Amino acid sequence: MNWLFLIMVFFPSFVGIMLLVKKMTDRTAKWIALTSSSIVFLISLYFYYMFDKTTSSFQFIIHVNWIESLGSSFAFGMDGISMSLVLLTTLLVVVVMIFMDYHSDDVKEFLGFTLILETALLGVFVALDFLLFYVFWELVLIPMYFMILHWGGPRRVYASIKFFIYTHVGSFLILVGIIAMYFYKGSADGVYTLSILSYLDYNFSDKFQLIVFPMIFIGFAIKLPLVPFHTWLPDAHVEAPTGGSMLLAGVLLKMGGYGLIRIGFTIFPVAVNHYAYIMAVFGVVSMLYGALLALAQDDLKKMVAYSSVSHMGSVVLGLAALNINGFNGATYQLFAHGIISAMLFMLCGILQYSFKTRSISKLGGLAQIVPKMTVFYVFAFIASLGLPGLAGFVAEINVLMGAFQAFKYLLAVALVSLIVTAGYYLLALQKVFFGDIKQSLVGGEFADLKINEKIALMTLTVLIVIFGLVPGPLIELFNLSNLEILARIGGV
Amino acid sequence: MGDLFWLYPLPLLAALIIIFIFGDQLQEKSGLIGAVGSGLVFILSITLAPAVFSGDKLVYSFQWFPGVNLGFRIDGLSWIMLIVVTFLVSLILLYSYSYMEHEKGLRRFFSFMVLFGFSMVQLIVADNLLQLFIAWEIMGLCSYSLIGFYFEKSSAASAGKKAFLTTKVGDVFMLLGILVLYAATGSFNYDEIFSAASSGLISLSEIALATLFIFGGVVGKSAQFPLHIWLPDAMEGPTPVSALIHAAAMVKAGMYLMIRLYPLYEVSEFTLKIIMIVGTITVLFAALMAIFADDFKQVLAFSTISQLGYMTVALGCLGAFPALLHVINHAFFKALLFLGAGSVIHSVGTGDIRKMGGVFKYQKITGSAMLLGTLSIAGIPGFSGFVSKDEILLQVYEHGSLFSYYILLLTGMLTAFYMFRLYFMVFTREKRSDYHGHESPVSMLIPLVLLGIAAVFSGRLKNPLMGLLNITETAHHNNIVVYSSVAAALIGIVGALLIYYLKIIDIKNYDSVISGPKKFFQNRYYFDYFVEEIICKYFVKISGMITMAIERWIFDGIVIFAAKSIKIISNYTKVADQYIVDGFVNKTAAITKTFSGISNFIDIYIFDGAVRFIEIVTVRKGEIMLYWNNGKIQTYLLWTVVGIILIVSLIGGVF
Repeated sequence: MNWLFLIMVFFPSFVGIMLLVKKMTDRTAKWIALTSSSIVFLISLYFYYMFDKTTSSFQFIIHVNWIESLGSSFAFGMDGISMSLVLLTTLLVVVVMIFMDYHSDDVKEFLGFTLILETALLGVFVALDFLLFYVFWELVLIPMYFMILHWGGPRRVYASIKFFIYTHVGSFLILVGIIAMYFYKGSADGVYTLSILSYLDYNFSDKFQLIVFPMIFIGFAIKLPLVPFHTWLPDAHVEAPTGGSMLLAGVLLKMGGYGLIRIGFTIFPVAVNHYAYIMAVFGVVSMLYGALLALAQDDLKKMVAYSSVSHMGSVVLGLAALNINGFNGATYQLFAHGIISAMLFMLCGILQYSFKTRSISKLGGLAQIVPKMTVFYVFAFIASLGLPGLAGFVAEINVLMGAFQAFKYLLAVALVSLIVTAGYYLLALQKVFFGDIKQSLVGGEFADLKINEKIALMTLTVLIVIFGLVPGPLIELFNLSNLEILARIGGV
Repeated sequence: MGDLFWLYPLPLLAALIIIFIFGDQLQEKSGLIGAVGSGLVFILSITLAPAVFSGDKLVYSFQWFPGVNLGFRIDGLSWIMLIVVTFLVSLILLYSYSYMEHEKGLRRFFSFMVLFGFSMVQLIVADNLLQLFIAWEIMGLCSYSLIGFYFEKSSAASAGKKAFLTTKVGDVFMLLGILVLYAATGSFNYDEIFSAASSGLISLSEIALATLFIFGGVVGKSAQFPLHIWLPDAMEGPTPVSALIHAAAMVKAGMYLMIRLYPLYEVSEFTLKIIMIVGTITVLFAALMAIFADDFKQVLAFSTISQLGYMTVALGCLGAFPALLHVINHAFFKALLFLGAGSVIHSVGTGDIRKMGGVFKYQKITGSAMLLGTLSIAGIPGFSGFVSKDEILLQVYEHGSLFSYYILLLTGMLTAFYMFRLYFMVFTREKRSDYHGHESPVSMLIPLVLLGIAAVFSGRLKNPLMGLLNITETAHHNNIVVYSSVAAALIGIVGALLIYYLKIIDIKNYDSVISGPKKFFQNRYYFDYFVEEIICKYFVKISGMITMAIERWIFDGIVIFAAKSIKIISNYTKVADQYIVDGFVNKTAAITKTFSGISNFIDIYIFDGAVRFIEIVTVRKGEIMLYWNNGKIQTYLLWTVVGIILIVSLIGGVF
């Protein structure tokens, strides 16, 4: 089984490199990419099937000595939290592959980068060695950087460099944190190791935790992104190509949340308790501030990008609650926001392709022109505003349940953001889709959904409904892992 | 059979799935399928009667995810609501079958109609607040899409949006209230919350807060002041939608929730006081608007708000039972009135009552049924509305809230007045515009007739309901209250009769007096204007300006400033690199060279003997001095820096 695990992680990048290097038509490239990503998805489903939900420990562990002088090893493994994000990644890559059509520029290379990105993302979620984790973490930046730079919009150079440098600063903070942990632990007990597992039950001194945790927290917060470290996100999203945006919002942001849970909250229990309230404040401020900004946008994609900031704020709020509801809610939000935001960004791309603009003020009455697209837009917006019965609500209600127990009326801020969220989505629907057709659009020929787009959107729609109505299986997947982390922190 | 009671709503779900899949083929026949689905649920529910009347409580619960259970519960309260709602949903869908015949988008229409009904059923049979909240919000979505059914019309789309957002404001309060209860008890389940409350696990202040917040949700969904603003606009949707919202679902959900949680409300006096105040304001506030409204459905919408206010006042005066009674009676007669309105609008082709008149001649069945509904809502003895209104007035009187009592009495008069104004203007006298009236098809008349019967007799449910809910006594009978309420209604009717039927009083003569208030009330006190144009617009504008400024000048500004500073610094380092570092390297080389020169000097001239000393000084001096005074700036700079370092370190050493 171990070899299968390695195949799941590395196979995409092999195919990806092959796509970049070999000559072939875009059509062949698409089918190769779609097939290989589907295989990877099936493998991840197999692992889900094999996954033992009754234990919180890491499973499918691979451990090969690597750089022994550093105490680094080639270590992989998954617990429930990793498993859920691995499923999210493999799934979304398949959806991107379905969505990508072979009429745009350099599709072959784009697909190649996407597959390399998949390996990097999977690596982050399953690495059990700090060095390996960091290598994958950095590797994620490279394909994404090229995706924005080559296939991006008019300000792509600015956006790609901003994205790269800003998130790189975050990576640097994380690296410094890791090095500090490495030497602190090494000099204390003489075992210099980079194995994440051996840090999970190591107790750092209070002072060390209080100093190093904020650094690591900011590092992950940049990736998440949390206000005020979020300004790279709207630029990156606005310029990124659709497939890139889908993975950026769908999976890349989740790395921040994953890192917070796996490293931040597990290794620094004292600091976490100490800073819980501050983190919660950051969380609710992100929620409200992101929502207010989304309300002010004219570009649909930028609106959706800010809504991501808002929703990721709830991840931090849930984690800061330090109880099982909050944790499960945050973890669920990673998954739910992953599929919902992928759908939103896909729709933004389709609209842009069809109407050559995403500006709300230049659109109007689209429901009469592109009825099918409208249905999915309404669904995706309603899902994103957290309608009960859809995936986002489960995450939201858990976060709120947890956060209310921990912070009581600080939650009022978060609740206001729920109203604002409903506001910007419904206003956008009203302006873009309902009412009379905008004068400038009358008589134009605009394409509605194509078959591959319909399949991709339907897949996400069905998943959003299923995970909204039947949240049990997914929550059971990471419930025990979260409980164990909480036991360390001292929460409930 | 009784064990599977929680599966009883399945026919509705099945209808929903069928319509969702085959709606485009079925077209208006979807309405029949929905009606059958709802009818089956109705029949299945009836079979539960023996169990429910024997006082059993049917409960089934399951785990939704670790830590949270959902479940179903049928007791007296949910049973009677279930019966009423499924009955009405069935009739409304049957009615829509003809009413919507020539419309487009029927799959969407009927899917959401059935989902609406299904959510209401789920809301009723839920045994916990979370599940209720889920159904509650899904109803919000249904109302959004049904009110905005004619989405090409901007006003319809806005009305849908307004409904969703306004109720969302209430919902957020409600969610907060639910969270207060959850945090205190660790459960969403009604029974567990009640037992925690009675055992003192939740403090009274927490109960007061929770109930107050939850009442916020009720204010939104049940259209109480100040969140009533969405309901009058909701008439933008097709008429069956209005009937569903006003009679069977949505606005009744709020009342049901309060009655369901009444064990909590009972003990929090502060909340009850607030509820009573809100109800009292709403009752009169809405009735005054109804008097001046010229749109058929709008009059009915205002009357709904006002009638809901009656229920709210009753709930504020410990009168859960009168409120429930009025919920049920109002459901029947309001469904009747709306469906009748639809039947009239369908044939006349407009909703403007100034353009109607004499409709009775063409629509005798509709007109007769409407008369029953009108008499019922006006509170005439013998009709159902009288029974529950009377109960409410008695309760309020007995509770000692005399101010509210007089307001209700006054509103009773106004209600009778505006309802008969409506009736006379629509059905009697001469045609005021050129329309071709005709009676509606049978499938629209069946619901009207059935509801007409219900509007007369649903008041008789009072005693069986008391048995069902184990209520032994209601407010004491009081002749003064009964007579004054009947008198108020009669005054209202006579007023309307004189002005709009007999035309003995010509209101045109009083135009100068009326026009001021008329404009005020027709513009809904300018309250909607204030909320939409001032609060919302400026909120969007100002919050956008502020956040965009913060974003641009602070969060992004700092990053860009940092990036620019680093770039500038790097430029400086480039300069420094060129002059200082490079210069330093050059200098070092030069110094080394010099030192080697010096050692060479020593070597040759000291060790070789002093014989040639004079010669050295004279010959080499010139060369050395020339080198140090080479005229290069960096040389001087270097020595300056070395000098400063020396001075600073000396000073440091001294101090």
